[in-house]
Amino acid sequence: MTSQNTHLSEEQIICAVVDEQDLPAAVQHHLSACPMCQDKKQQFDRALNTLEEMTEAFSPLPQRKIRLPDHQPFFGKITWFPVRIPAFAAGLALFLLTLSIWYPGNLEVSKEKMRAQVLREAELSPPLMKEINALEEYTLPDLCQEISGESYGYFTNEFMDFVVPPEESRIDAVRSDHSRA
Amino acid sequence: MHFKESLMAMNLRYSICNSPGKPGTEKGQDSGLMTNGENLVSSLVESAKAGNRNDLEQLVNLFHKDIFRMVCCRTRSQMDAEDLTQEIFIQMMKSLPGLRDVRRFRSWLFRIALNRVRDFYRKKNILEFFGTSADVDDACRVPSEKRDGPLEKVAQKEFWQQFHQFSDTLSRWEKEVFLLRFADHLGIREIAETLEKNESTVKTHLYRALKKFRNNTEFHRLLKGGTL
Repeated sequence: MTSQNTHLSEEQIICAVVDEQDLPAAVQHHLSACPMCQDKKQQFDRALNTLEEMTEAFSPLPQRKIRLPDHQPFFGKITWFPVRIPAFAAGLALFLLTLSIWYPGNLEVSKEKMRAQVLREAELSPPLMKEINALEEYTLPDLCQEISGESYGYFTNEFMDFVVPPEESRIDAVRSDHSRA
Repeated sequence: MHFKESLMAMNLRYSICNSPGKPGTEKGQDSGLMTNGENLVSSLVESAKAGNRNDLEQLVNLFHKDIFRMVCCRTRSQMDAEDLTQEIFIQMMKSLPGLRDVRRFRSWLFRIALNRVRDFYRKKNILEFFGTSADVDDACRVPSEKRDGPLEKVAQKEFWQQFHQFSDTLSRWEKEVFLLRFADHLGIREIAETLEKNESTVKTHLYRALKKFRNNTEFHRLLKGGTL
């Protein structure tokens, strides 16, 4: 019995439903000539068609209309952005962590630098240096110096002249007494 | 959308779904010739790519129902399907300039949809792991294309129950090919393009799925008694 006279097996029927062209030529020839095999295939085809129709008929309908944005969203153009968000966040966290570890040490260094810079600028400005020197010499204000007893403001030249008058003024005073007498 | 545009969309849908080699035909194989519907879709895609807003909207209206049905069948939730469909079309709009072959638009769009559904399940699995996922199965409670009475609703519920029961017995790729072929009405070539596999692999998966379908007498009985 040749394959042309043999009816199609169950597997061949399924194969014919998937793609008839995949069957051997002899089987295809038998299928085209045998009403029994054709009927078997058609029954299976009908079942599948019913399945298709039922899936469509029993499917729900969309309730919402699709709303397309007027313009392409900003991040839509940068296609890498949504994909790279976790990588970006991880990178940012690492950067902040590094900064928090590194920054306090760097702050000390920057303080030293700032002091050196101020000194350099002060040296270049004579009035400022004069003021600084004065402050160094008289560290306390006058009132504070008076309180501490470190001030000698009263012993001025006038005061000393009064206590110990100079020779010329003493002679002048004697002459004036004689003339009056 | 104007009535004229709706009519055009309906005609296009009919033309695409009933073109030779498309589901609904006996062979289910794709012919090399392009139909009027496919030509119209191609011209719409070209125009939308060039920035024509009206054609883009027409394209969306044309495939809205198909994509929604595809997503709904996989997520089994109307609300999730609505959200995902919206996202899919926005993704389509963004990626459209990168589409090389406009004739492959349909399979390209289904690939976007399939990837979105996979993302959805990945997210859902993570949420379920943390116990924060709300599992809503309202596919049977939403109005179907045929807005019928209670008897039809029972039939509809029973059908989906059987359908999902059967599809859950299939392996991953068998299920994917079976759904694309019989629920989404794609041809073998389109399925191969959507899944980025060669046609013979698709046929092998389809063959295995059909073999299991053939042995599922209960589902068969339901289909034989199915009245539409």
